Amino acid sequence: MMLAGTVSAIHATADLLGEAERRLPAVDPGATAFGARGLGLLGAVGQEAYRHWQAALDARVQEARAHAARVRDLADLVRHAAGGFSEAQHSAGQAHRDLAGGESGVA
Amino acid sequence: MDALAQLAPVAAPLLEAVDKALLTLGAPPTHPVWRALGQVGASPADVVAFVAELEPARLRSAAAALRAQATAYEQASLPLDAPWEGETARHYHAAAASVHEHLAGDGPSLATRLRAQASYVDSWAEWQQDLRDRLARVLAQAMTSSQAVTLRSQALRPAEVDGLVAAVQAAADIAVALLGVVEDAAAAGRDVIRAAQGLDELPYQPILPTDPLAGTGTIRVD
Repeated sequence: MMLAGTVSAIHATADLLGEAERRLPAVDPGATAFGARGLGLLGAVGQEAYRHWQAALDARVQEARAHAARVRDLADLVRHAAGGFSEAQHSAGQAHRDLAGGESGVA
Repeated sequence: MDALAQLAPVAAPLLEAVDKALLTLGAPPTHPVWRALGQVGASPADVVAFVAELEPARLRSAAAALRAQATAYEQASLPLDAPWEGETARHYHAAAASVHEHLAGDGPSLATRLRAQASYVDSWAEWQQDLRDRLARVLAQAMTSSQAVTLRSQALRPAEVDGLVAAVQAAADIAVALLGVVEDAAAAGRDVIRAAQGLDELPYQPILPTDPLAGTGTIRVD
């Protein structure tokens, strides 16, 4: 895979995680679905179950957010390498041109 | 439509009679319904109405959405090998492998966390369905019980003292059977919550080369 393809694939993964961060909160069916609005003992158990679910869902959202940032760091790493290559290529081209100019001067 | 959805509307008059008897006539002093009422904190009619409204399918939809997200993580194609060589390529490979492992590797990952949470919400849906089924069974027994006949008879002849005493006992018997289902379900529900471990945020543990990044390398031009 060439550099552009690598960067593109990395971005696709970062986008997937970014989308997950945005969409996961909508997966929450709400307190009522867990029975957290009930009276007495059943309501108390439903609330406990819902709190457990909510804390877990918050953790999933946070995981997606943090990992999207890590994946974007990977893309930066590739861009850093690509920048170095581009600079090296430019320097090499300049050196070649200087050398070619020097040779013509000697001739 | 499950058994409780069918039974709850039909059982409503009986449950109203049970609640009314408990509220206006009380219950025998040593009857276990007193303890059950204290534990459950709701009347039989309220309990049945509440459980009849629970929709386990809503929780199963949430579980399916989490599993779909886990599959998306597992199918993400993160390039593990850099298209160049040298130290930065080694550094990239190590970083990409760590990131991939955390996302959907063989060990604990973001994908396994999503699947664990899907299992938890599925377990809760199963718990709700089990509660509905058990309550429906006890309700069906109550509706065809001698206690139900006693309550109906008392409603027809409210002035009879013997009938009144029997109705108090009958209402307490029906109530304790229904509330007993709730007590058992609550204990089982807490077990489901306790069993759902490993849902907290997964810490990231990168495995990176220890040597400093020199920034040198060779681009492979294919």
